[in-house]
Amino acid sequence: MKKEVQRDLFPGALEMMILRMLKRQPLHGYALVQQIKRNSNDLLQIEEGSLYPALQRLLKEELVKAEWGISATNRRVRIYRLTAAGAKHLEREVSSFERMLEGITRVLSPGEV
Amino acid sequence: MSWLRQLFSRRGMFDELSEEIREHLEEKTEELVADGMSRKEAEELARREFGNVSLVEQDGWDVWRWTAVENFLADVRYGLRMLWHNPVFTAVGLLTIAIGIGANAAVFSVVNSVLLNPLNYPASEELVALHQVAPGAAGLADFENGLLLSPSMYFTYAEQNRAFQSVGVWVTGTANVTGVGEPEQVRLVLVSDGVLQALAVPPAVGRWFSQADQVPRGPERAMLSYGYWQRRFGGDRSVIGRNALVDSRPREIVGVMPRGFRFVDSDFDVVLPVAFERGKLILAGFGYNGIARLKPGVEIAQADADITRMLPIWMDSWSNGPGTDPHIYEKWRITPMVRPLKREVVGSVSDVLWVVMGTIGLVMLIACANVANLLLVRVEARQQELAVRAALGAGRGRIVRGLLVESVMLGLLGGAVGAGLAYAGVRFLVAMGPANLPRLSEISIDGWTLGFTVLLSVFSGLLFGLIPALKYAGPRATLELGSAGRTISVSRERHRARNMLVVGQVAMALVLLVSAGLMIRTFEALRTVDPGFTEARYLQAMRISIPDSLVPEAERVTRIQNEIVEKLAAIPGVHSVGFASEMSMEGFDSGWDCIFAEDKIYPEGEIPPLRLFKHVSPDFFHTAGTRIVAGRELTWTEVYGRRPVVMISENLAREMWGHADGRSRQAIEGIRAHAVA
Repeated sequence: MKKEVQRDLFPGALEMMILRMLKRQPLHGYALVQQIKRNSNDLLQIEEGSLYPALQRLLKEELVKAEWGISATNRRVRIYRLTAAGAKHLEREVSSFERMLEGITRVLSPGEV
Repeated sequence: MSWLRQLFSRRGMFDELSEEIREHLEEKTEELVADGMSRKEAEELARREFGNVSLVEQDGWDVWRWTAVENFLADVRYGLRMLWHNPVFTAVGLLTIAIGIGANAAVFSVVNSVLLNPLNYPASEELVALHQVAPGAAGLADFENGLLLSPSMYFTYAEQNRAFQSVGVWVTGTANVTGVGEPEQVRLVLVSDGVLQALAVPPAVGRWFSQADQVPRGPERAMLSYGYWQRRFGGDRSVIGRNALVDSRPREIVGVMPRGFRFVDSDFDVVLPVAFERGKLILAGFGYNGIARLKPGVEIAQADADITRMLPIWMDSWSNGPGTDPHIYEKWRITPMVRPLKREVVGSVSDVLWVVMGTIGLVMLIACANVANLLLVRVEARQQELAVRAALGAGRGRIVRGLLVESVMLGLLGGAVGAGLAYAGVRFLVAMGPANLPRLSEISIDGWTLGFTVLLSVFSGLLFGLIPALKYAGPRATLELGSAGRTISVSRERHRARNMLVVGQVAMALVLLVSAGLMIRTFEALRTVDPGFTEARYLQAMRISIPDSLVPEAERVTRIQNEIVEKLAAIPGVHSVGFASEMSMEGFDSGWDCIFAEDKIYPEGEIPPLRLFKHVSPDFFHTAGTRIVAGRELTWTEVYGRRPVVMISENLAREMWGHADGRSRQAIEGIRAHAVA
C-alpha cells in the first residue's frame, strides 16, 4: 500500500512548469501532462488532475488564454496559449526560483561551512 | 469589469472544465487501448492516474469563486429552504420574534425621537430654559414649574446678562380672530423680543417681529403658524401685510413660521408681540417662561452664576410700588436653575420612557428564550440530518454557521415583519396622541430606528441560535448517525439547556409581572384621586373669551357672560351651566396671590404663602358636581354687586384655622376677601 516517498511540489512549481511548456508551443491539457512527464524523465509524479485547477488559476490571472480547437488526433480540445503577461511572469518566477535553488544547493553542498 | 463577466459566464466555464476533463480521460483511455489494454482496464487506469475527478472540478471551480460569500449564500438558501419546509415552526417563531422586535422598534422610535434626537432648532444644544426656584416662598416652592419670570426680570436679564446671545420671555394664551371667515378662538403665543432670535428658526414667509413691534401702543403686528396659515388663508403668500382682527383689534400679519415649528412644546396658531409697558412694570408678575440662547462655550453653571449676579440688580432697579421693600424677595431665596431646553421639553417623561424601553427589552429576551427553546426541540429532530452532514465531511464550523445563518434569517424575517408592526404601532400612538408625551409630532420611524431593528434582529437571531448551534454541532453529532433514531431518549444534558431557558423565562416574566402589578396599582391610585368633578361623561366643556378690547366695561362683560349661561341653560338636555377661568385639573395659568386671614396677625415684613386662585361663575361647582363642604356658591347678585366674596378649599381652611375652629371643618364657604394686590 505504501507509496514511494514522494515530495509535494512547492506552491507555484506546477504553474511555472506549465508556463514553460506553453512558452515553447500552445498545448491542450492532456498534451501538457505528457510533455511535463516526458521532460522530467518521469522523475516528477504528477497527479494528472492537479493540472486543471492550476490551469484555472493561470486563466484567472490572465497569464494564459484558452481556445477550443482540434488536436492532432482530431479531438475537440481546449488549447492553452501563453500571454505576454504570462511570459513576463515566467521570467520572474524562473529567476527567483534559480536564486532559491542556488541558495539551497550551497547550503546543502558538502565541504563548506 | 472582467470579474463581472466571470461571475456571469461562470456556469459556462464550469461546463467547459468538465468537458475538458472528460476529453482528457478519453484521450488517455484511447491511447492505453491502442497500446493493447482492454477498454475497462484502460478506463480505470486513466481515472486512477487522473485523481478524484469531482475534487479536481471542485478545486477548479473554487478558483473562480468568492468562496466565503458563496458558502454563506448557500447557507442562506439552505436556511430559507428549511424554514419554508417547516411552516408551523416558522410561523410560530416568526410571530414571536416579530412581536418582540416590533414592540422594541416602536418603543425605540419613541425614545429616539423624544429623548435622543436634538430639538428642532438650529444649534439646539445652546438653548436653555430660564428656570428658577424660590425655596423661601412658601406655597410657590411646590410648583412644578418653579418661579417663572416677571417682565421686569426679563428686562434686567436681557440688558445686564453676559452669558446669553439672546433672552426672551413667552407665554401661551388664547384670542379670538374675527374678520376672516368664521370667528375663531386661536391658540396664542405672546413673545418678547429675543424669543424668536433665540430659537433662530427663520420664518417661512415674511419676517420676525422687530424691536419696533414690541413698543406698546405702537403698530400692532402678528405672526401665524404654518398650520393656521394653511387652514385659514390657504397658504396664500399675499397674506403678509394684510390685517387680521385679533381680539377685535386689527393686526398686520408680518410673517409665517415654517411647518413643524413649535414654541418649546406648545402648538400655536398666532404669535403676538407681548409689548411690555416698561414704565409700568413692577418687580412681581412671575408669569412668563424664560428662554435664552447661550453664547458659544458658556456652560449652564456660568449662566446660573450670571443670573445670580443679576438678581440684586433686578431688586435695585424695580419696585412693587411706593412703600414696599424690594429686597423682600431676598427671603424667597430665588435660585436660578437654568436647564437645557430639551430637558424642559422632555421633562419627567425621560425616566418613564427608559423604564418602558427596559421592560420591552425584557420582553424581547423572553421572546428570544422562547424561540431558542423551539429551535432546541427542532434541532433535536434534525439530529440525523446534522449527523449525515457531518459524516459527509461538513466541519463543525460549517454546521454551526449553517444553524446560525438559519436563526439569523429567522431573526431578520421576524425583524422585517416587526418593522411593519412598529410602523403601525407608532402611527397608532401618534393618532391616539397621549397628552403628556412631548414632541409627539416628531415621532416617526427613521433611519436610526430601522438600523436598530436590523441590529436587534441579527443580535436576537444570534442569541437564540447560538444555544442550539453550540449544543448540537459538536463532534458528538458524527457519532450519533446510527443512534439518532426515533427511539432515542432525550438526554439529561439536553434537558438542562431547556430547563435553564425556562427558568430564565419565568424569572424575567416574574419581574415583568411585579412591575406591571405595581404600575396597575399606581394607575388605580390615580383613578381614585378626586379630580374635583363627578359624572365626567355628562360634562361638556368649551372655551370662550370676551376680549377687553371688544368689551372694555366689566359690567357689560358680566352681563354678556350671564346671558350666554342662560342661553346655554335653555338648550333642552342641558342641566346646568357654569364657567371658570380654568377647568379643574387644568394646571395653573390665571393667578396666585397672598391670602391673609382677617382674624390673624402677620409679622411685619413677612409674606404669607402664595395661593392659587381662579375665577368661577355662580353654579360652577354645582355643574361640575363638586361637593361643597360648607356654605354655598356665589350668586349673580354678588357678581353684579361686585361683592368681595370667595370660596376656599377645605385644605386652606384647615391650614388657616386648624381643626379646632368649627367653621374650618365646614371649609368651603363664603368669607370676606382680603386679597392683597
